[in-house]
Amino acid sequence: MSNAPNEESTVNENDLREAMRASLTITPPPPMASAAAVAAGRRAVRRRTTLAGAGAAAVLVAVTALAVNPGLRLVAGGDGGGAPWAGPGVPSAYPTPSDAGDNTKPVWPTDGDGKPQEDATARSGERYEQGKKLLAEILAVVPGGWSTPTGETADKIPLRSHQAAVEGDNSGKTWGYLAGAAVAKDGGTGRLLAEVHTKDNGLPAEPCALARKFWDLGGACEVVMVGTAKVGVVQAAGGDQGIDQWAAYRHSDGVVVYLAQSRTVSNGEANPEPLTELPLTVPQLAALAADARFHLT
Amino acid sequence: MSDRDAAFAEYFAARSGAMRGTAFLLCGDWHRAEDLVQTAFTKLYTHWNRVARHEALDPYVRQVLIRTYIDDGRRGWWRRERPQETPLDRAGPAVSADDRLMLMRALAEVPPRQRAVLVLRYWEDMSVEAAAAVLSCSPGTVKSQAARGLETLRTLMSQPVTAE
Repeated sequence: MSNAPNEESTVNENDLREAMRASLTITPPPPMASAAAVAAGRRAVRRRTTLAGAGAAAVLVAVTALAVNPGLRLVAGGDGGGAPWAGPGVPSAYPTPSDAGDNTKPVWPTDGDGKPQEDATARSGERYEQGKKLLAEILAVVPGGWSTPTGETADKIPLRSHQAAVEGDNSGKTWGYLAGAAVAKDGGTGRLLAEVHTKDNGLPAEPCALARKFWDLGGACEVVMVGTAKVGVVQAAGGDQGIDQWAAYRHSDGVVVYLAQSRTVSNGEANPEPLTELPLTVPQLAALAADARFHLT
Repeated sequence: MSDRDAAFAEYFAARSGAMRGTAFLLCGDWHRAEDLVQTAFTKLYTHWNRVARHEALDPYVRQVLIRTYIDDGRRGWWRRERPQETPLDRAGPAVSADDRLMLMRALAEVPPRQRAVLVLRYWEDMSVEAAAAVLSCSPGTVKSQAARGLETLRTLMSQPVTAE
C-alpha cells in the first residue's frame, strides 16, 4: 500500500483489515461495566412498562369515550413491537472478528496491467472491458421515450456502474459481470440491471430455479418462451428488495444472463422519485435475457 | 440479581468489547462507540427472553448497533480531518503506522452505508449474504457497496491529507 500524496493508492481489503486491527489497539478505553448495562436495561424495561400501562389506560379511556359517544372514531396506531432481528435470513451465529493475518490473503487472477488483482474485481484488461460492455448493452436496449441520466444519488451511489469480479475458486475460470443504468421517464427514475455469469458457474438449469438464485430474492416465477428458449421471469414478492422484476436465461454453453428492472434507482435511502411503471414488459425482459448481445464469456 | 440479569451481565462482559470495537470502526470515536453499544445492549435487555431463546444474541446486537449507527448518521473525529495542500511526510515501508492512520481517516470519509459494508465484510468477516441480512439489502448491493467503498478509500488515499 502507498499513501504518498498524489500517487494512485493501491489499498486493498487486507490493508484495511490491518489498519482496523491496529486502530483498535491504540489506547482503547477500559472495559464497559456490566452493572451499568444491566441498570440501563432495567430502566428501559421500566419505561416500557410505564408506557404500556399508560397505553392501556388510554385505550380504556378511549373505549369508555366510545361507549359514551359512539360518534367518536378510533384510529389504529402503535409500532407493532417487532424486534428487528425477527426477519428471515439472519444467521444464528457470526464469526468473531478475525485475527488472521496476511497468510489468509487470497490469490487473485492477473489484472490487465499484468499484476495480480487487488481483490475480486478486475480494474483493467479483458474482464474489465466485458463489464463495461455489459453496461453499453443495457444502454443500447433502453426503450424509446426513456432518458438515461448520469451522475449519482444524494448518498453517492452512481447512476451507472459496471463491474467484473472473479467467482468460484478465484482462479479466474468463472467470472461475473454486473452493470446497471438509471432510466427515467415522467419525473420518475428507476434502473435496468444485467448480471452475467460465465460458464461453469454452478447455477441451476431449470429456468425458475435459476431465476430464484438471483440475489436470493423471492417472488412468483413463470416460464416465458422466447422462440424455443425457456426464460424464468420473477415478480418480486415486495418489501424492501429494491428489484421489482427479473428474467433469467441459461445459454446452451452454460453462460447465465439475468436482466432486472427496478422502480427505484438504487438500494440507498436518498433516491429520486421512483418510476410509476417499469421500462420493459415481461416479454421484452425475457427476450433480452436470451438475447445474444448479453451473452458474455 | 435475577437470572436474566445474571445471564445478560455475563453476555455483556463477554461480548461488549468486540461490539465496541466494531462500533469504533464505524464511528471513529470511543465515546460514541460506547453509546452505540449501550443502545444495542439496552435493546437486547428489553427483548432478552425472546432473543436469548433463539440463541441469536450476536446477530441481534450487531444489527441494532449497525442500524443505530446508520440512522444516526453522525461522523466521528476523523471527519474533522480535511484534505489540504500541504502533504504529510512520505511514509516508509508499506502499511506503516502513518498509512494505517491515513486509511482510518479515509474510512471516516466513506459514506455510512459503504463504511458499514466494509466493516461487516472485512472486520467481522461476514459473508455477503450475512452482511446483506444485517443491512436489509441484496447480496448484490453488498458486493457493489464493498467494491465502491474500497474504490473510495483508494481515491481518498491518493489525496494529500493533513489535520486541520
